[in-house]
Amino acid sequence: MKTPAVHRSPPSRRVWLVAVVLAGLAAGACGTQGAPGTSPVTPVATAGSNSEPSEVLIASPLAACHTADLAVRVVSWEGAAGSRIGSVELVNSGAGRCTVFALAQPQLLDGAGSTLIEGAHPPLSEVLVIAPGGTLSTLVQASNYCGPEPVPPVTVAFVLPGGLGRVVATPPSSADTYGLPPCIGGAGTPGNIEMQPWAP
Amino acid sequence: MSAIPWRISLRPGLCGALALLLAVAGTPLGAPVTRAASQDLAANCGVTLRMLPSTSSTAVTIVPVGSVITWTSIASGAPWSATCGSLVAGSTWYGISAVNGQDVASLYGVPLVYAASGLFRPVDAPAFIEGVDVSRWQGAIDFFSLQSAGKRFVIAKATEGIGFLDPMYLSNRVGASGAGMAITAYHFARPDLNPTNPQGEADWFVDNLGLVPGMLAPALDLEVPGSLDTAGLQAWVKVWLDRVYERTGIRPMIYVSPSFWKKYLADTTMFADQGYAILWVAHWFVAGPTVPANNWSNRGWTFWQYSNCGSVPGIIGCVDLDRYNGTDLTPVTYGADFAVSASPLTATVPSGSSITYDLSLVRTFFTTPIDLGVTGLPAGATATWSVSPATDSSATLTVSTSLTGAPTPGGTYPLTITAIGGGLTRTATTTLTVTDDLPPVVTAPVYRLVHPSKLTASIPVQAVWSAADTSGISGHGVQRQVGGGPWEELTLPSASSTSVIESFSFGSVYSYAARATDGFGNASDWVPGTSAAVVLAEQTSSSIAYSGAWKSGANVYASGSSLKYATRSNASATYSFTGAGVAWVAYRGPNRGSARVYVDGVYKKTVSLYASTYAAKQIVFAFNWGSSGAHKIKVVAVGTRGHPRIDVDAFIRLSLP
Repeated sequence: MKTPAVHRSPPSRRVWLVAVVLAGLAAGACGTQGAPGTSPVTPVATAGSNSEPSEVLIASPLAACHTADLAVRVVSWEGAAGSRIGSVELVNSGAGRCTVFALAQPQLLDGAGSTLIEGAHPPLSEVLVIAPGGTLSTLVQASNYCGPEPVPPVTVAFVLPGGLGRVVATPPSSADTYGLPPCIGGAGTPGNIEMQPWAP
Repeated sequence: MSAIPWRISLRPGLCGALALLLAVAGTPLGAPVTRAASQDLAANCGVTLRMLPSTSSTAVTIVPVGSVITWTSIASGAPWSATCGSLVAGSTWYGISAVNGQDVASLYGVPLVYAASGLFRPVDAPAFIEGVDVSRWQGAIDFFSLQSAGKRFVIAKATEGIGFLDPMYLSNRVGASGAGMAITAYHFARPDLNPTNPQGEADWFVDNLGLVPGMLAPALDLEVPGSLDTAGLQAWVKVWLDRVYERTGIRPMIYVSPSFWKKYLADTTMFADQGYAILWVAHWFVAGPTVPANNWSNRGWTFWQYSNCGSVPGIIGCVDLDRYNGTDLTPVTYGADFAVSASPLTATVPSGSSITYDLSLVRTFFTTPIDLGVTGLPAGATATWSVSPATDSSATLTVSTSLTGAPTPGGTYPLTITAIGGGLTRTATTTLTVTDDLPPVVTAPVYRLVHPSKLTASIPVQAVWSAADTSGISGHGVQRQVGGGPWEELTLPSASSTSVIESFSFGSVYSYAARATDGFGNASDWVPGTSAAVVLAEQTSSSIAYSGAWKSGANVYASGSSLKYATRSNASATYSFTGAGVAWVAYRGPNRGSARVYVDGVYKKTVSLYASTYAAKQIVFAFNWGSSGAHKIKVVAVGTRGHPRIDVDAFIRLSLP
């Protein structure tokens, strides 16, 4: 995975709609369905940009998760050399099974809702099925914030592919700013934020 | 996937085309983001300059390695990767306005050209060693791929605050070491959580560090000031560093950005001045880092984290890229040391021969070249190294002794082999014994008439010789032969005597031979001198020519009971002869005066014959040449006031028949 460390223009909504429709096809025509009673989170398809499977798996299509059904929180922040790593947890708080892409567009937000660092739009990724109450986890890393002083707390958000909206993670505390990475590149240099794929 | 209940096959091209379309849809081409600046950089390899920041853009030209470019903007463009010294990749591009000092507008007709940013280094920058720093963010790392891509060291996060241990630290440490990479760890400081307990954080770090020889200096990552003021934070850092040093014996390095150091630690040079000499500076998007604390007290940076988002084989996603300022990690390696030994420990060679010693340099994480030297060589010996400085683990030393010019003396010599590298000096000793098979060189004895002395039936003659040997002379010997008779060895006063005084009787022929023994017991042959005899010429000899007023007188004490004498000044007597030495026999007494003596026309001295009592047959002057020749001796009366008389009783010549 290579995530550009710069702000990039988003693709047009029409392009992403095409991508989501095709992803739905992938989840349906090329995907699989977990058996009831098994893990609440099931990967249904892998369609990375470099993969070219000769056969795919068939499953029943499922709806993508609505942002209202997703509860996301930053469990903790830790430091690394020049960056901050957030441990993030996502829970399907809805009543039904639904799907999310393993990768979203991460953002670092402050308490006023301002985007401090905006991650790149992700490549198409694995589609995960989450049962009600199912939990996914990921790590988010941010570096080089060189902007103005943010309003506490600092947290992360995920813009779901396909125009499905954005989920904002609850920070560890109401005044937490530990997730704000230091400015090491100097004024005017771009920040970077990226995420690892959601995983059970 | 094994739980999938059914599957169907699709034509291979369908999902492939689908994936390709999705990939294109999900990978938007970013617009360039520029930053005003201007820097000169040198190309690490041949670099393609393009019209736009993309590898698919038109290539303008390829500039050769070493070309100096001037960039004026940084642009975010399409991904690139290349092998340029090491495998590099990224998506940042330099907007270049000049190449080797010439505007690209004049060169290529465009205001800017673009090149991938990872292909350059600061102008005149020394060579670097490339590495990465990692944490659990990177997940599982393929360290062999990382190593194959040219990364030589890994700095892994170990701990944070008190109680947090990076879950990947152990596997990162083991993995990097297993792939042959240098490894160390850093501690993420949390003075915000533990403002009064830096020692606790240091202990937590050391407890989990697993420091073993070969690891690089551990690091303190400073980027959270907490609520401490400058003095408080300085004190916090000092306690942490000192504690780790106390427990490990190695001074940690400090990771910090220049802005943090200046803002929160007042740009202090205290740590650099107190021995914390290793700075790991974090500064991105620059051609060269700003080094705080007065260029870290003029030591400069040692490690530089120059990118927060590099792409390297073996690691998924962004990774911090780091650079070591040099080509040898030894100075920052814990336990780096070396030992030297030589074989054989003892050796014996005859003088004039050579001996080769095998040197073993046992390196423990020590890759610095080692300078080699040897002391204690005997005179005339030379040392030749197969290589110095040595970059490997072995070398040979050849010591050549000499028999010519300055010959090497026999003897036993302790040799000290000195190996110096990286500020360390190690020595090895070996013993060289040089044996001497050659006898001393002895000169043939020569003879000298001795004075003052007295003429009797014989006169004293000194036989003199010399001997030389590089190993020294332990003893001499001398033999005498009289009248062609048997050789008889004489007893010398001491082992070091190189002469003997003998009484030569008139009418006899003498020969002497000498020899010497050196320190190794090598004895020379007997070396004979020529035969010698003493011949008396009475004052009446026809070989003596007198000038001035000379009178003859009878004297029972004189040689032959007669002599000649003069009282007027300038009266002279000249004796012409062939010989190797000459002596003047005269009378001393209260009424005797002085005479000037000339040898072969050259004034030698004024001899006073005055004495308070009378003494006959006195050899009052002698002169020796060593070899035979025709010579003259002349005595001239000075005319000493009150007692002007001088006598010629006889002359004696030393004849070498």
